[in-house]
Amino acid sequence: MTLLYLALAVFLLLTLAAGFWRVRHGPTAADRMLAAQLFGTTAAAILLLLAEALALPALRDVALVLALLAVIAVIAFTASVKTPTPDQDSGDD
Amino acid sequence: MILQLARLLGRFAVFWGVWWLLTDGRTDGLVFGAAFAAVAAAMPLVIVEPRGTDRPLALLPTVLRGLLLLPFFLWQSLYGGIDVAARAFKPRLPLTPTLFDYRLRLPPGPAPVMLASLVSLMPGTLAIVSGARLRVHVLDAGRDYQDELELLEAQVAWIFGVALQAPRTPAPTRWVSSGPETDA
Amino acid sequence: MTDSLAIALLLAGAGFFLAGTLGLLRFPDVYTRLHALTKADNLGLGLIVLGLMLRAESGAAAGKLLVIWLLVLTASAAASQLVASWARARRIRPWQG
Repeated sequence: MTLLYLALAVFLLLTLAAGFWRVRHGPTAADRMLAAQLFGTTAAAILLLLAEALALPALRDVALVLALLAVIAVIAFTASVKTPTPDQDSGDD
Repeated sequence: MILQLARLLGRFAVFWGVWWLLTDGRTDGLVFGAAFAAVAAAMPLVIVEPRGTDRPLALLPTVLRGLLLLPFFLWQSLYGGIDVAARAFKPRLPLTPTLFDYRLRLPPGPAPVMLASLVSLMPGTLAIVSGARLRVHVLDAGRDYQDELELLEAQVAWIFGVALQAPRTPAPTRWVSSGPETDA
Repeated sequence: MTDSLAIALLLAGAGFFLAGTLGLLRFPDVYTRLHALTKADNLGLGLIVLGLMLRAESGAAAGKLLVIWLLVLTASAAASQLVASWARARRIRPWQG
């Protein structure tokens, strides 16, 4: 079982790494923000698997904190990142 | 007054329960947990509600009702995940996305946000709250989503114990038609 | 029996993470990519959590795993709405065939 947990953790790490291609290439800033979401979910899964594989229940708390930090990162992004050309039209809302 | 006290105790019960779970069911920290849960439960008494939300949320009944509908949401979420995964795996990418407005019958407050979150877990739909409307992005323009959205909205209204109202905006418009394109 | 079910759930979960990443790389615009991430990755995490719950040392530990998943789910739903609103406010147009 431990071997399976570790193998899956490595596999998830690879999908995470592949996802970073999108972060690098964008094209929009919104695409880059998806990284935080990808990271939050995938890293949580990796840590939960490691908690079981290494018999370190404390890693579950790390998973929890990481997932919550990922949202805070998204909030910070959306609150602060400006577009190069400011929007004249404030939208149709 | 009695109602307020019941709500306070309900919130306390929810927060203390979460504390118990997050500390792996240990009993030696429960006193601290009770203190923090009490502070958290009292927060809504101190914080002024944003305009438009007419009453504080009764958390415990909401959580219990939400739990009753959880199997349905989980089932839909499973279906939603399978649907989008199948699209991602298919070589020809079967996507015909479009965007439309759904006129909300829910009162403003947390309920529409909950609805948008649930809609985003359902197969093929992604939603954001925009005033009295829900902007819904769908992966399959050929399907009709109206009935599903109305059903979900009714369920969210039940969870929050609020009544549905007549839509407050004129008939929906499709706003994606022409105009300058931004790279996307 | 429990073990084989746990293994099946874990493998299925990993499969959905792969689908989420594939969608992120292959889908044509930020909105469709959001679909892939919010649905596939959260389902993947849910299945992995279920698989791990079957092997958890106590009921409370299993409950904690479930709470973690629900919190990640909530957080992820909030994040996806923020990104979608942000993109829409910047007039990033959805891809249409």
